[in-house]
Amino acid sequence: MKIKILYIGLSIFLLSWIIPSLVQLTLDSSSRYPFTYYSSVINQFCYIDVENDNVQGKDMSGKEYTDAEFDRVLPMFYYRQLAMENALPDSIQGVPVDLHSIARNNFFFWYKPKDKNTPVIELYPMFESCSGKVDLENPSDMFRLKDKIEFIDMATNQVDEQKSARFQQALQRAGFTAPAQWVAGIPTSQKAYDEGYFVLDSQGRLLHVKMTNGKPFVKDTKAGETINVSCMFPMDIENKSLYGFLFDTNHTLYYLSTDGYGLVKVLENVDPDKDRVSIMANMFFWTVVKESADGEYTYALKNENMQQVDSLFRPARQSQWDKTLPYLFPFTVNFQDSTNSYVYPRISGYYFPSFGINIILTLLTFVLYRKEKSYGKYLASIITLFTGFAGFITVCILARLKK
Amino acid sequence: MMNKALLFKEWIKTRWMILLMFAVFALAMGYIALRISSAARNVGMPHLWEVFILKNVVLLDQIKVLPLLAGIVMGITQFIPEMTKKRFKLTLHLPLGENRILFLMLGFGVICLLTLFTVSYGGFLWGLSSSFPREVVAAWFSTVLPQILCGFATYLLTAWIILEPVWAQRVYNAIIGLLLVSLFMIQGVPGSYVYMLPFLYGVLVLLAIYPKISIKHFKEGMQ
Repeated sequence: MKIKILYIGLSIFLLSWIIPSLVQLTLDSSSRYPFTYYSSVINQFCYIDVENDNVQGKDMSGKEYTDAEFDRVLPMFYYRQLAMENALPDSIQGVPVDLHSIARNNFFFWYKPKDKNTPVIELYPMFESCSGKVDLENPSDMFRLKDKIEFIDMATNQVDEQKSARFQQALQRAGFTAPAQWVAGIPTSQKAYDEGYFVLDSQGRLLHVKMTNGKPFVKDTKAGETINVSCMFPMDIENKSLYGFLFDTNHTLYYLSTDGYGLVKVLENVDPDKDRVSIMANMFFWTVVKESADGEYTYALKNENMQQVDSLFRPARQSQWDKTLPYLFPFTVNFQDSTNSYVYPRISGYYFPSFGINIILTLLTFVLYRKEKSYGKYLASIITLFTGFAGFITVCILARLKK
Repeated sequence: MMNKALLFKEWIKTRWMILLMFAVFALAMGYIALRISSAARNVGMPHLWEVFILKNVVLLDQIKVLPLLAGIVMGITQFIPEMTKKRFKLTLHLPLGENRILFLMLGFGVICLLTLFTVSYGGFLWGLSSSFPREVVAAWFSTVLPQILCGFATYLLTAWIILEPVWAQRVYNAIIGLLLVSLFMIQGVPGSYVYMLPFLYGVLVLLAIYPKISIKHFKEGMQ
């Protein structure tokens, strides 16, 4: 009997995973938020409305634009189209612009929680950041950095002791305290330029490590003195104005400026483990979007001082699945979700509205067990009452309780 | 003495199949090793490092169903002969406790699979470690570990399903088994199973004791 209970438990667990996920496949429809961008021409948010199956550019007053008009309202986003039509304005916001100045200052940053919460193989190529060549060259070694830095030659799989010692000394001179918590960089030669890596040491110091002219360059960014750095996402952008974006442990997003490693606050109340962030920046304004469970927050920030000039909130729309789930199943089990790459069981909260269906299923259980005289009848009913479909299928089909 | 005799019987039943499985695993590992050395010659070691480290490519993934199949094959060779002509009834009549008989039989199978997996995967990863750093070896190990555990799961599931005398219950057990096996096979980046491992070990413990339900049915003469 004890083993049977274990069997029933596992069966309910598995069915609470597979049945809801099959139902979800039939009901799920992800709602996308409309593309929104802050216009430097009319100084307000503009968005693409796909409501009635016809794509329509609109601004916040509800004014509708044709495609050509919409390109002209958002010249900082559609500048290439405008340049092709020879319709790029000479100046915007009183500042003279051309194709190159716009392109140089535009950049995008996309962040999703999976970027942070994913296992990585902790080996990185160290590029020569001052090679004097147009294209970056792939190095012949990779390094690991935990307790100490070690360069491993890829052809021989041997540690290059001399190079490792040179970098280790440079790290120690900059105040590195082992072990490193993480190393962040862009480990590909397919980038515009190289700024090496950022390393968070055990004391919370954020160090900048790169190789220039074959020599180690290590510098304490001092960012760790003002904030508790949580994670960092280095960028390579054309105007080289920033090293990358970082979150602190208080859920604030900053960027690390290339001007003396200055730390600039971008947005507060962003949880890097739950929220998605996208930044579309141009020389005048940044359109910063935070997508949380409750909805989408859009902000327009001034490029020069990150001052907020406008904001917008769109509440999350519940899908058919979100609405029906609590009435169908008392709980669900999942093994994966969108916030991290790890596989493990995740059990949802308990949905009391499911009791409606559960009571019907319990009565059915009673009917199916009517000939049973033992206490199995009551046990089966209780199991169904609290576990819904999964329990019902288990005790009535997969593992009937008998005396 | 009795234990020895029982284990010897298991060995007689399965030795050729075990040998065959060793050969298949050796061939598969040899094939993957050949592909790596051919790639090293053609595109160079640095490129291979890049693909393995930055692109998360694990070549052993190509033979991920092999442990699963080995488990099923082992279960079938060990338990189908018992079920034909009701031989299992005789086995259960031996002057040993039924739990002990079951434990010895399953233990034999698990040890055989463990040896097979340790020798083949262990040998392969040991070879890999001469050309690749420990981080890569660890990532590959963490990728194949759930697949190897899946081999034990399919073995125990096969035994459970075959020993079950009631046909309908066999089908139900197979459904549960299918769901369980898919949990060992979820596609992910290397290392994504770290938090799942305790759960998988728990499942294996459960699967090791489920055949007792079937033996109970068997003894009660259920059909």
